[in-house]
Amino acid sequence: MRVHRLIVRSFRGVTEADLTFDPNGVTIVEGPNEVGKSSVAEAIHLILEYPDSSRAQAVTDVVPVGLDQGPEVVLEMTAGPYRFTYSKRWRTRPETTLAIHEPRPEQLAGRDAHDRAETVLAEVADAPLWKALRIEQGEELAQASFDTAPSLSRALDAAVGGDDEFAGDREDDLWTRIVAERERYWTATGKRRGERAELAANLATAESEVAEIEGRLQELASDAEEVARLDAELNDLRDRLEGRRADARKLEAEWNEVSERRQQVAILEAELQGATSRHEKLAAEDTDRKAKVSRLSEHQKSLSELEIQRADSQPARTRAETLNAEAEAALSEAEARFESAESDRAESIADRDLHIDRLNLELLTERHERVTQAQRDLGEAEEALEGLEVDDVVLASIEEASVALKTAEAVAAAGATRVEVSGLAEVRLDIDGEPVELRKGATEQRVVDRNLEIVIPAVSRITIRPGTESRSIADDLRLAREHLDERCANAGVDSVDAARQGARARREAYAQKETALSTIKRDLRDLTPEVLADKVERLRERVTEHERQRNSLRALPADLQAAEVVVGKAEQCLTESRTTQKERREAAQDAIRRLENLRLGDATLDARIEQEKNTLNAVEEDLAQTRGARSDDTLKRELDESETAKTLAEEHLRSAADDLAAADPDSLELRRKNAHDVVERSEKTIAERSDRRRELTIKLELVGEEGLGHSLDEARTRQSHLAREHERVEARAAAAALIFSTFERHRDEARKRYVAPFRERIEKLGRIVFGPGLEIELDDDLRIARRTLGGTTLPFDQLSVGAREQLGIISRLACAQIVSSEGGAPVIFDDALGWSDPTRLERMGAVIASAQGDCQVIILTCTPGRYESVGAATVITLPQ
Amino acid sequence: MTRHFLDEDAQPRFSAARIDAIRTIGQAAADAGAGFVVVCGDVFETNHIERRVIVRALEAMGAAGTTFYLLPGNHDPLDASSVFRSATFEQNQPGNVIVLDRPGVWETDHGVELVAAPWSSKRPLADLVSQAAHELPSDGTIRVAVGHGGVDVLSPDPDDPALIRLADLEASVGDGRVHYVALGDKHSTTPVGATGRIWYSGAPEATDYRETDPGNVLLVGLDDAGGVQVERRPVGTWRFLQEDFEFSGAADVDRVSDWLTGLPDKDRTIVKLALVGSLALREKAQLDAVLEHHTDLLAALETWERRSELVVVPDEGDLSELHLAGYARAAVEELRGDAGGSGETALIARDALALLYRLGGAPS
Repeated sequence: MRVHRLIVRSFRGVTEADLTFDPNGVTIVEGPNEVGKSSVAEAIHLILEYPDSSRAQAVTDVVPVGLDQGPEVVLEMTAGPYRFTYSKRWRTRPETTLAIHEPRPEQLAGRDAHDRAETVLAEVADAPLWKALRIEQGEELAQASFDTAPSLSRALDAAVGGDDEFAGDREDDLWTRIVAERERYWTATGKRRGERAELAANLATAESEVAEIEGRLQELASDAEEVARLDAELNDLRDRLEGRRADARKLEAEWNEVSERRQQVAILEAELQGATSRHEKLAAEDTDRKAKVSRLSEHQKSLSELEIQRADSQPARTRAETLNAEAEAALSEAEARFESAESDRAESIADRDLHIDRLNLELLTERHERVTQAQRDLGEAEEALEGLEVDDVVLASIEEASVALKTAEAVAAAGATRVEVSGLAEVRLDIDGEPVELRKGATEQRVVDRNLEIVIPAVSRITIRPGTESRSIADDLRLAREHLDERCANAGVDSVDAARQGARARREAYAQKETALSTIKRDLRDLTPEVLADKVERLRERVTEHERQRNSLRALPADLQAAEVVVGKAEQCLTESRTTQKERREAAQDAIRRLENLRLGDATLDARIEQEKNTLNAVEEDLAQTRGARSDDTLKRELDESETAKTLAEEHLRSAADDLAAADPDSLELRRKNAHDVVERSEKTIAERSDRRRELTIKLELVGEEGLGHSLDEARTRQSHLAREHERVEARAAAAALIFSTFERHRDEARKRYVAPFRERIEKLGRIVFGPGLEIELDDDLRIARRTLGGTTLPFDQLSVGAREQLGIISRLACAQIVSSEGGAPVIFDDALGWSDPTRLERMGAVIASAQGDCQVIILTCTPGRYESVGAATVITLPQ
Repeated sequence: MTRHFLDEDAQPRFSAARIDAIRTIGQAAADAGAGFVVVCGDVFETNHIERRVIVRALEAMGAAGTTFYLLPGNHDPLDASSVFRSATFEQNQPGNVIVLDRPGVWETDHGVELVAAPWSSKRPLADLVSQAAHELPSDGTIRVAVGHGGVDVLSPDPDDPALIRLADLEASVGDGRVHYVALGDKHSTTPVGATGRIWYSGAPEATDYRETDPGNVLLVGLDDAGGVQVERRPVGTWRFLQEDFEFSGAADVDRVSDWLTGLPDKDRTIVKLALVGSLALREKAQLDAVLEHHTDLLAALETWERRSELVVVPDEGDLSELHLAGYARAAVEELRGDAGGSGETALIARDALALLYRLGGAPS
């Protein structure tokens, strides 16, 4: 595809522009932005995309402001074998014309023209490629993707293979169907799809169903065989059972015979037992009889011995009774004497105690009287002390005040102004407001220590005013007097003498009190006066009582000492009588003990004699009774007879037992039992086998009704159908997988073949800019994945913006160069390379220039200097 | 009798044909004035046959009027699970149906004695026929031995103890103790030995491809003088056919089509085709159409295209129909190469090409 000429009219800011492009080289369109150098690209886009009737915003955008003129574009271009001129006017007087010049001239207008142009372009042009090769201003510098551009594939394929048949839409369509077919059977990751797995599972189920029914039939067959086997076995068992029964019967008969013998032995054993028992009983009786006779004689002997013993004891007892009576009399006499001595001693002690009490009473009475007197003295002294308040200290202070007064008086007498009023007659005065009766000749003195007013009623008022010194002396005197008065008043006395007298009286009373207290303390000791009085009283009562009770016949000893002597004598007498009494009591006790012993011995003998008599009677009676039942002779005869009978029974038994042993009953028993068990076991086995046979027969009968053979046929049919379906699906799946993998591999290989020359072309152009060390790597979508420069490899995304931009342009140029022979599309740059430094810019110029002759490059720019380094280029300057 | 390759339409007809055969036999016996019919074992396919088959078979035999003597064989031995002892059989057994359920001599109403050798298990340990015919007197009584199983001269397994010894049979026939030996087991009508008196009658209705001459009964006539006439009479209506075809071109597809078209009684014919050779995709598509058409017509049509040696390889014509270019063409070439080989890979590659042919939208 080549753009030869473009005319725009009334297109945005452009009134008219007519641009002719170099079809196989670089054309640079210069013009400021406002003029709309970008409108060149826009115009090509609009005329190819939008019909003249379009109301699209893209069209509206280019309608010139304020002009009643529709935007108009005329495009002359080559596409594949076609060369045509295509013109369009939108909005105002819309119009479309298409003039095809090659390969066959055609002239169309209106909608037909638009449709025909679309057909032509669809046939030859490659819209994705057309888009991919454009870099518009401000567009992100993304890499172009050539993967979806069949033109590139085709061109690359052609460049490599030289074949004139290339994979295209038809192949892509087939590929889509292959992928879809594969997806019917396989997941994206190459796993079996669920439907296939389900089919396989159904098949497995059907197979196991067949196996199950076959198994059941097998089981039935073996059951049927077992029944046949059981029949044979049962026949055999029944035959043998008869023989075993006969054996058992024979042994049973033998056994019966032996049983009879055994019974006989048992009878004889019982008989022997009876004879033995009778013999033993009689023997026992005999022994008993003999024992009884012997006991009787023993008791008779024992009784006669006891009676002799009793007669012998009488004289000794009589003697002992006499001795005992004597001893008791002696004891009574000694006891009487002891009692008298005891009484004597008690009386003598009472007399002595009376003497002691009398003495004590005297002493205590005296103490009590002393205490009473002292208490009285104490009371008086305390009463006196109550009224006497002047002690030595108080007296001293009064004395001191008295001395001070005297001193003051002396001073006053010497220095103070004094007034002496002497009565000439009896007069009543008023001195200092104080009425004074002044007798005649009496003098009333006053120290004038302040203004002294003496009023003679109805006569005169005399005021004496002291001088300063006089006033002070008077004050001192007055103060001393007041001081003394005050102290006396405090002490409760009216004068110093009274005070001295009081102090003396006080000292005396105090001394009296101390004396009384001392006396009380000494005589009371730890007692109170009340207790002391009480003691005296009680002692006196005791003495009185003593004297009243005393035996008046006895002479009271003269004094305490005499009383003590009497007591001593009485004590000695008592001790002697006590000794005598003790000796006689012991003698009496001995006598009575001896007597009691003799009495007890006799009583014991009497009891034994009585007992012996009773026993003897009983033995005699028993013996008589026994003999009554069976006399001694009879007993002897019967005993002999029973012994003979026993011996005979023993002989009979031995003979029968020997007979029994000869028949070997133990072995016979075992054999008989075994024969019986054998029969039983055979019967049991037969029963078991019969049961089993019946069980199997019933089972076979029941299952036979099911028609298992038919079920097996059905299951096999099902299995066979499923197996065929499974095989078919699996074959199809395998086929789909194989097609897919084969096509995928070839597709990838083809793509790899395109990649190499494309990469080489990019590297060739790129080395102009980046130097000889440049290598690049393309990904599956034919985009630059990595760039290696100077041994350093970087992912495309990490390259500088400038490098990315340069590589973007280079890859487009490379693409365009390769594709150009097959058609392709112009490479259009709208003010690209803004990011490149001057050195790179210059080299990029060389790269762009290298496109000259190979393909069409259109550069739109508003900064003409940027592309100065593009050597061979046609430059068009847009009109202002 | 169920056959897995029969569809739900053919299977009931196939089963019903077995009952129809009984009626035909009864009619043939009546027409010929036969005294009785002997069935020499395998009356039923198995002892575990479904009830419906038993009652229908008994009903058909009862309707025939002629006495039927049934011998238990290896498929239906007289063991504990025997169909002949089942409640269904016993309850529905008509008076003219007699089971030869013990070995030895059986009197018939016609002065003829039957010497029966029934199977009581699936694996007898002796030649039952010889046992049954043992110590028969040669007293002029006409006797027909009724047996089942393989005969030693025809068997591939000489060690089988149950094999019927032809020498013994021929000796009995030679002595005039037995005048005819009716055998069952083989499905094809087969004379045994040189006496002309020992025969396998074969199955009255075909059951499998392997049978060479099924579908017959034998009408046997014995006269007092000891003469014998054996007449083969077809009663079966179904056929099993197996045919091999070799392929090398479009003409061979036509050959198959012609052969199938020429078959009579298609709805009672079961065909299995073994296909050998190679075909182009287009021809294979034609063949598939032919086979599909006849599958509808025939009772059953089995083909073995995958496991036979039928190689389907696209030729240049097939490929050009696909109009493929570039990598797609290369991929197809590779698949073609694989398909030309052998083994599993080649099979898959052939399938893949056929599939590709369809996916490519080529006419099929």
